[in-house]
Amino acid sequence: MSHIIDRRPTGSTGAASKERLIKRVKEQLKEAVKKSIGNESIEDLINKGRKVTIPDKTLSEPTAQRDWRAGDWQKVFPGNKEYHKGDSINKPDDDGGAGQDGSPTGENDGLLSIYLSPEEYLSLLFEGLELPSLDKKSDADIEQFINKRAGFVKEGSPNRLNLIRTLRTSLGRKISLNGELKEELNYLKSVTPITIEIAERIIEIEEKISKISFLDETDMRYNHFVQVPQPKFKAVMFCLMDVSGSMGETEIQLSKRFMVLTYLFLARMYKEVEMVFVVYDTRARQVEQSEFFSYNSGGGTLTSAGLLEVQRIWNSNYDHAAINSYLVHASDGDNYSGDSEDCLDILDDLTSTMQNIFYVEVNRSLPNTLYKTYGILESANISRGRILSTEGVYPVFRDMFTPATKKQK
Amino acid sequence: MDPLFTGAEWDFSLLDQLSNECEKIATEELKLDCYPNQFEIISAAQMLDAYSSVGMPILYPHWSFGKHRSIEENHYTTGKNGLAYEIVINSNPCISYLMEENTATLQALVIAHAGFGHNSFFKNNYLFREWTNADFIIDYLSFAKKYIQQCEEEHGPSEVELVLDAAHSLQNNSIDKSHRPSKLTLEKEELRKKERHAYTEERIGKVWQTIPGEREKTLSDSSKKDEDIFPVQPEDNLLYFIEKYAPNLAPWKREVLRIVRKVGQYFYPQGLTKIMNEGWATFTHYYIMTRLHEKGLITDGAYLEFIGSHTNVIRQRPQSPFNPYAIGFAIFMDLKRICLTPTDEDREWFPSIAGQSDWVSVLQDAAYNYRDESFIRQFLSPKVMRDFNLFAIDNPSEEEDYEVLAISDDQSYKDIRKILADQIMEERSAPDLRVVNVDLKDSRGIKIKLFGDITLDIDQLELVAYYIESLWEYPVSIAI
Repeated sequence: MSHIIDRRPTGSTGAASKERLIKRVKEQLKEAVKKSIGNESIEDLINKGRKVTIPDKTLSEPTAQRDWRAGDWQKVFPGNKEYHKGDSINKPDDDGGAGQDGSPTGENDGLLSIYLSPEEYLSLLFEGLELPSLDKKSDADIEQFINKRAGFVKEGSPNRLNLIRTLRTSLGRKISLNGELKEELNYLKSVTPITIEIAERIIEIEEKISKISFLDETDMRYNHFVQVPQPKFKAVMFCLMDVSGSMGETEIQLSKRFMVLTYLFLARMYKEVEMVFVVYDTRARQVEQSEFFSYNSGGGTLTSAGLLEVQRIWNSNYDHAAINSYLVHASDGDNYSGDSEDCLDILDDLTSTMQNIFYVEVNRSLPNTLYKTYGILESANISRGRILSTEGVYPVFRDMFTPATKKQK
Repeated sequence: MDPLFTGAEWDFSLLDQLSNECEKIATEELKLDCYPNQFEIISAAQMLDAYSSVGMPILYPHWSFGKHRSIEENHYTTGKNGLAYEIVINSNPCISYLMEENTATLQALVIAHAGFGHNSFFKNNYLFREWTNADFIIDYLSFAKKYIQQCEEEHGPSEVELVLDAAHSLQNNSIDKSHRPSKLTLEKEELRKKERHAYTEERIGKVWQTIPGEREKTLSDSSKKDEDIFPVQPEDNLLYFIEKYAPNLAPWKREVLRIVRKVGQYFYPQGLTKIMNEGWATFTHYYIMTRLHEKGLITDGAYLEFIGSHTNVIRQRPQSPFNPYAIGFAIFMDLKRICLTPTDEDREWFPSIAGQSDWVSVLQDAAYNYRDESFIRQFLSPKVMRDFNLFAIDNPSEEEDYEVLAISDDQSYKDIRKILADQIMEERSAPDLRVVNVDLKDSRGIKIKLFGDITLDIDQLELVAYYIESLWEYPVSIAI
């Protein structure tokens, strides 16, 4: 009498409605997302989905309903502990809330919490952002191809056999060969009386029909694929972080946050981008990703060492003509004053070979040495930003990666 | 007998056995008449989907369902709700959902509660029999979903969303209270849809029939005042009226309104029988699980687990809104007690029921032939009132204080019953808004009037009026 069906394989369809929800409140969500990023730990930033809150008015579902605050009413409640008939009960200060069945959405204060998965959260975070000037295409030796469907052919390997097409063709062939014979057969069969010649002719036709094969070599059809070369944008992002002694806890945190955003952005939007991590104090070292994000500071500052290392890696390991490169440099801006000349020289070279350079200065209330140094070059592909608090990280990041066309000046 | 299971794990053959044993008790002892059951195993994420599409797995996607899902998801991930046993569809076969994470005990509970409790209620309660068609609903919803999808492809999702938003806001005011829906089949629906498209395109609506020549004729004949009033009788089914008479609405939009209206109609009885339905299902699951334990088919441990879950569900917080499970279950248990072990008070209050040995028939009569407010009026006993410590208060809006009108003592039982029944009726009814006039000659404006003496929430009403105007496209006025 009862049937039991397993529906788990079909998966959740809530995605369609959730998608529409997000679309409908995209703008509000983006605002909310901007505000919500700031105080959580870096691991949470990467891994956790989170709840964002938007005003419920944008999602109101109005209906004609009674205003219970106005007008008289009489109601029954459970759980009487002390009242007697005729007692007076003080009305609570808010407008006669007793008796509401609770807001239908289960939320209050006109705010709605929406739970975003890490995916959704990051999409919103990085929506509209792009790597600028990504235009060097690669003519690298190893090309990438993908297979694309391109109709049907008459020859091929058995795993590409298109059964329906084949049978359809064979049907066509049979009809064209059989057609006249079958017509004649039907006619003959309807003639009365049946003579010997007619009977013989019927047998003859039936034999002919039976000789026409069900399937023939010429019927076979196979799916056809062509190889389409994929344009390859190769890019590399150099992450340069100042880890000298002047970088205190706050400075390191802010730099790391910025780098994490950059990393997530690239990992999400540009799967083909390689990242190179370099830290420097008086000397520079290339490090692995995990070490980069857990590096502790100490030592003097010599920015040119860091820039030099980036330049060295870039020049020796990468084909400038084929690869787009970017530099993100985070520092508190303190630099040994005699070093600026050297930095300028290196930067001058880098701006001509790299696509863009992004410099963020953290936690200095006035523009510092390096900020000014970067400014001297007046180059079109240098962007500078100053971050003064955790709340400032994301806006600066957003600003740097918003394409110029979308920027409001 | 050996218990059917001893741990939390379940497999498909166990579900089969559980279903069979529950069915035995349901049909032989409770004499329940049910639709065939279809139990669907789903994941928690799918359960969330079902919750927010108002229990319908194939409803059209709409952002409001996304919103409810987000809310439900919140509650689920922050542990507020136990998404246990509440999705069951009024259809034939009756579809209920078993979450894969449920323990074996919980699966038995869902099977009993939804598969036999709700099932029999849907099949036999008079409101459902009169107003819904369980054989047809799944097909109709498939049709609806496909249609809306096509509309989105042709006209764009945001256009469709606007129409759906407007229609949802009027869903509660678009119930046909006068006749039973006809037995449409899917084929007929398709045919009807085609015919309507062809017909509507050519049709000149009544609203446009007053072309200049005719108008002069009617104006000169001033005694014919009555004919100018359209509609002749106020129409309380707003979506129906707009669907039929909106001057400029594209045929596909009219069809969408119709779909929303039909779906609303389908759910209408559920709103009116929440207490009884949940009470009945809770009573059924309580009886079945207890009997399974008595027969030795479930262990003591399983029974305790069940009791824990059951107690959670029927918990009633003092001075809070009523928990329909709590009060519904209490009333049905009480009716059984009145049949089997009546007190003098029972004999005085329920002379026809007290002492009846056939309690099964008594309970079935109560469940199948009433709706929530008449159920309360008829069957809420003084004992249940005392158990819940019910009390009634009066809220005169100009006064500073509430006044306690009645408490659960001898003088006031009848008052409490009456006030509660009236309260239920009022809370469940949508404001009585009716179309009273359409200005045929001039502005084509539509005038809607509120019947009855209540105050409406103005902010909400303004939004609703805005929605009506988006469909009617001419001035809208609502007289309150």
